[in-house]
Amino acid sequence: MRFLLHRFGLLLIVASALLFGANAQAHKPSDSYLSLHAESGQNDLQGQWDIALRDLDLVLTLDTNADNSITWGELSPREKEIETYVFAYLQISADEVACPITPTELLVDTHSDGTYAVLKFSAHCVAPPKSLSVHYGLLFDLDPSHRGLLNLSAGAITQSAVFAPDQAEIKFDLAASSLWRQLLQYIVEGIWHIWLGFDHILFLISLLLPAVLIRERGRWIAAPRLGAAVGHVIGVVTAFTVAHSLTLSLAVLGVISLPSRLVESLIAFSVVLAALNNVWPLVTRRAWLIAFFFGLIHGFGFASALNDLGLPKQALALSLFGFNVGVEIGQLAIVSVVVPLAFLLRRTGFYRRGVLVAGSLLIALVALGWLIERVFNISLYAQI
Amino acid sequence: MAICETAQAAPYRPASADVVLETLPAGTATLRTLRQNQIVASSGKSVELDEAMLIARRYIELGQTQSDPRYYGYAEAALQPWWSQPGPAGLRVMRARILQFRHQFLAALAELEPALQTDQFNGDAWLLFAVIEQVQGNVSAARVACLKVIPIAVPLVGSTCVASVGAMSGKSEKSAALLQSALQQATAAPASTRIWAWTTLGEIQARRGLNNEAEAAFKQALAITPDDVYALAAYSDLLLQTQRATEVISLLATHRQADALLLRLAIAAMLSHDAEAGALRDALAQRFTEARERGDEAHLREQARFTLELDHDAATALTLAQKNWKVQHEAADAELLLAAALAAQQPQAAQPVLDWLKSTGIEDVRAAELVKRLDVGVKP
Repeated sequence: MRFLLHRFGLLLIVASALLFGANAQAHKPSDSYLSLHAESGQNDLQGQWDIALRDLDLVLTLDTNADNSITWGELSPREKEIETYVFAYLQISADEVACPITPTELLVDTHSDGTYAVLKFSAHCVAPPKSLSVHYGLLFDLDPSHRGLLNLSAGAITQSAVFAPDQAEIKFDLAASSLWRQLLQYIVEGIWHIWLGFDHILFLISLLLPAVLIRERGRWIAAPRLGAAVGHVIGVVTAFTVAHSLTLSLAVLGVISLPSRLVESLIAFSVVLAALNNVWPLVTRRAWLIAFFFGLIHGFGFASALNDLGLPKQALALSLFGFNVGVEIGQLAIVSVVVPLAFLLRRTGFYRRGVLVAGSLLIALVALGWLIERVFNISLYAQI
Repeated sequence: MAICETAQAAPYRPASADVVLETLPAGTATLRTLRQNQIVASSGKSVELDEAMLIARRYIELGQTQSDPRYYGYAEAALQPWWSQPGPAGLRVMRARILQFRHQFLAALAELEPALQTDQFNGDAWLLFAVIEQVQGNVSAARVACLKVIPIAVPLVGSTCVASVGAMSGKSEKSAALLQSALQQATAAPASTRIWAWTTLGEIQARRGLNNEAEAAFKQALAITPDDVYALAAYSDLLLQTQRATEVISLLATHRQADALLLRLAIAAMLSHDAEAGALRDALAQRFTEARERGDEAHLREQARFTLELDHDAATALTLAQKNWKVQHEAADAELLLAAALAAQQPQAAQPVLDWLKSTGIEDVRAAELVKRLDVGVKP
């Protein structure tokens, strides 16, 4: 019987604990929370490190009077000792040069599983960091399940990472990541701009509506195949894209500049013309020419929107490219909704009269309002 | 006991020296002694494996009684020099226990297999093996392991092991009878073993739809140790299913530390429109966020149920329940995936569970009810 008990010594102490595993945890595992903040153009990093009092007690026995509780009176006199211990396990370097750490303050804070010591510090780097390398080793020798959760903010960009015994050193490329984020941000802005810029959308839709039809001897007939319609669409979209990319770039780079009221008025005028051309067709076979010519004007409009966002000098080309990609994505989204619908409906009277004629008249009317507003600098649609 | 107030609170300087910042857990005195032993042991030339295993064992015991993952970490640290060495069976079982606690089931089995080859009478190893296979829904492998446990262990352990597996393979009634007679004869068995047996009996009865019998069994378990997490969770589930949410609130009032219990308490509070419902939900969400941030995936079952029953986000709950089903195959996991598939109106997502229910022959009135509703939902 002794033999058997010995062999069962381990697991049967709380047999049902076996069945629940980690879900029965009355506590969460040990984590520390490290945050670093880099301000662009500055050498110094500001930091904060939250470490559970329980964990510090394990190594430093903070509960000096052994009453199973830790008071502020027991904690605060140990500040130097705590800092010496923990900062031996944290190394920060910027572009391969160490940034020495200076602890500044000891505070406390409450997390979901108890009270943590909050150690504020600064790290002094010799130059503004382009890349950061952080080495973390706290508590790994005592508890390999300990994790260090890092939150790094540089300017508006934040990154997070988890330190573990097999991942004690992590490198952050501040420059690259910020460029990538910036690109994404401008792509999103580009998409928003075309979706919120009703004048661009209406111009494009006016040019796309007749794409599923063919004009023969003064009458519209349905395009027999999708291929013909798609060819027309590609022509229009490509011409518009090439044209507005051209003037967008020239305007942003400062090669040409036009007064914005003139540009906005011309954009409204382009919508009126494109819409009326569907009602009384003048240009039918070469719609891409309209797209190209007025696309040049729309490009100036995009440029002023992009300028309004505030252009970073060091990443001008990047933001220009990103914004343009965003505009194209937004534009393709519109095309991919409008064209298939138009193709399906193209044989119906509803499409010919209701959508093409009446719809275009409505577009022309709205755009005429914009034209008057912009030319005379008054507000017709004040509440819209 | 206050629920966590977190995150938003800014760091502060306490007003005076006698502000109590933290109360240390009950095991702290033992922990200090152990740490001291560990330091003494490692101050010599090198620690002997036997010595390290003795220390690790004590840490695991503390971890089990305190339900505290830190102690499993300390145990791992004590075994660090031998952590990736083959080592004797006892060492492997200990590593398996730590891995199983972290829901790394496959890694745990990979430790147990060689351990059992060198020591086929290792009761710990067989029992752990049975538990892991059962959690993963491998009924026949679990049964084989339980049969190995019988001649080595005290009778109640073997019976509970066999009965819980038997109930997963269409032998609920027999399993319940086996447990009842084993419990009658084993009044002298260790308390922890009796709690395990009573809770298992309660779960089997609940799955058979015998709610009164199930309740009686859970009460027996809680009469032995009123704060056993597993028994409390199982009893709470029974109360929730029988529309007795307010009783769950009083049952768990002082037991919200474990995630599994906080989840049941939050569901009960929501169902009975308790004023604390919102705060409980947020506390639980915070725990899941923290677990995710550190890369923990041991809470999938709880998280799926949270998303389904508290957040009513059926689509996300279904994804989580499916992810959970890849790791765990117990009755509770099956019910969860069925309920999520039903809520998300994606009956085809329940197919793996339907197949599993059929192949095991498990009796489960709640699962059967969900299957029926799924069927009705599909046909019209």
